Amino acid sequence: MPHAGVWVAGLLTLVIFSFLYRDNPVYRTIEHVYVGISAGYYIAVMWHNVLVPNLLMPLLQDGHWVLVVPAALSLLLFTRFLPRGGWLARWPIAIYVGVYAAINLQQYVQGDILPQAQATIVPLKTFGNVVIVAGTLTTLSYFFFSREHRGALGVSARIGIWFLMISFGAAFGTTVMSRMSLVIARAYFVIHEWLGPALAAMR
Amino acid sequence: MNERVRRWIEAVSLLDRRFIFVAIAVAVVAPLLVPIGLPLRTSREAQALYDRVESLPERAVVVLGFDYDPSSMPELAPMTRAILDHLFRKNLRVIALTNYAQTGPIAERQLVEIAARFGRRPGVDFVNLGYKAGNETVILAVANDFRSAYPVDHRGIPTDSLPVMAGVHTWKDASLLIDIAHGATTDQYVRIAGARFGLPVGAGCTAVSIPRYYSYLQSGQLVGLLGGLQGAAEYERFIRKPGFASAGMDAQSMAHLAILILVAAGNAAFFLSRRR
Repeated sequence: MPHAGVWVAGLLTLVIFSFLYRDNPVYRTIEHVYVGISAGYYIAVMWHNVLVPNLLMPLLQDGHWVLVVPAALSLLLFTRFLPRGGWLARWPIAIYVGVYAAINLQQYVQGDILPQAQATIVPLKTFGNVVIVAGTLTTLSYFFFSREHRGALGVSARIGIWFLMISFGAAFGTTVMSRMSLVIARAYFVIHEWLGPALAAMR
Repeated sequence: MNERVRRWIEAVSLLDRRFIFVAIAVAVVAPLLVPIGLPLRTSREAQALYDRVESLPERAVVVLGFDYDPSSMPELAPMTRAILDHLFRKNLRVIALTNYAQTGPIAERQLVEIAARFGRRPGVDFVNLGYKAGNETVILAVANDFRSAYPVDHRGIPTDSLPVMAGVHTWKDASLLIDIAHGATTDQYVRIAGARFGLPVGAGCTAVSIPRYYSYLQSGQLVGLLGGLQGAAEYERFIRKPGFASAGMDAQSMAHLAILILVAAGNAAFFLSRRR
């Protein structure tokens, strides 16, 4: 017989699916319970995995007083909720954006832009290579806004739109595939981990 | 246009959305109750990842990124388990880490369970370094030294004292990094550990992310890719251990068939109604 946790999970799954028929109070109650539990759990995880090991322990136990600076900057973020002094939140955000940009600028050029550009410089000997080069150039031409999209540029931009549409279609198709996997996992759980074993135990 | 076609167009146009839900439910549940055993085509990118792992010598170091949370587990946990099975069967050293605060225990549970099947021991054959806040900054810190980025593992044991970490100091001491992710962490590993420090990077991702990572495959920045439930099913097939992903592929195919029929019917009704 499945244990109590499996029964709770199974029943909650059915309640959530009941929304597909129509909105109902039980669904809304469980939705609020889910949001509350998720928020509570996440706060606890962040406390134990981020604040305690990265701030409180080094600060209070090991005496790394320099950590007072990032702690103070973090607290400044909450000034947005005050009626006055909300502008103080811009300081930590500005530092965060600056640091992030500095770290990533080189990484993006070295790890993304250059290798990706290099990968489009291919001999036009195969159909696949022709598609790669044509797709890159025509799609880039669509995003070239310094000239009106007429004549050769217009044709190229139009082909670029087709490449974009095909990529959006692929993205949508794989999104459907992803969401279906979630449905399948829930159905698998209900059949093979909850109802199946429960019915077998009752026989 | 005859009356029957007109009535069909009207029926499709006014179709209750709950009919679609029922159709999808039947397409998903029926194959789970009675497996059909539809053929599964394996992809080049999944084969490439398997071959890369297969080519590693015994005790080589593989870094495994557990970069997902429970919302993506249906797709990513099966491929993680299949890859772990392969890594432990080949007696490779596994260094697990995560960029998600809530994923340390998820990684620990899977590592311990699958390692036990092959008699692999924590600290000797594998280590879970757990979570460290910082994403790119942590990846850059590992380039200097694993031990400074992760002084202790998930269980609080000093990393330096673990036999599994012997001789492992930076990315260059690992043979392969596989990031199982539902976010952008794979991009970060590709840009930093891969492009900057030359570590071969493989990936497992949700189906949503597949198109994004094909560009990295084409440029050679990813050595292999597992995409969604299908990727997991392919890897289960390579290691000859069918699990949840293999069982789910029949349902996946039938659900897609149902969606295709519904999309085709909707479009046919739309274009026929325009001709009217």
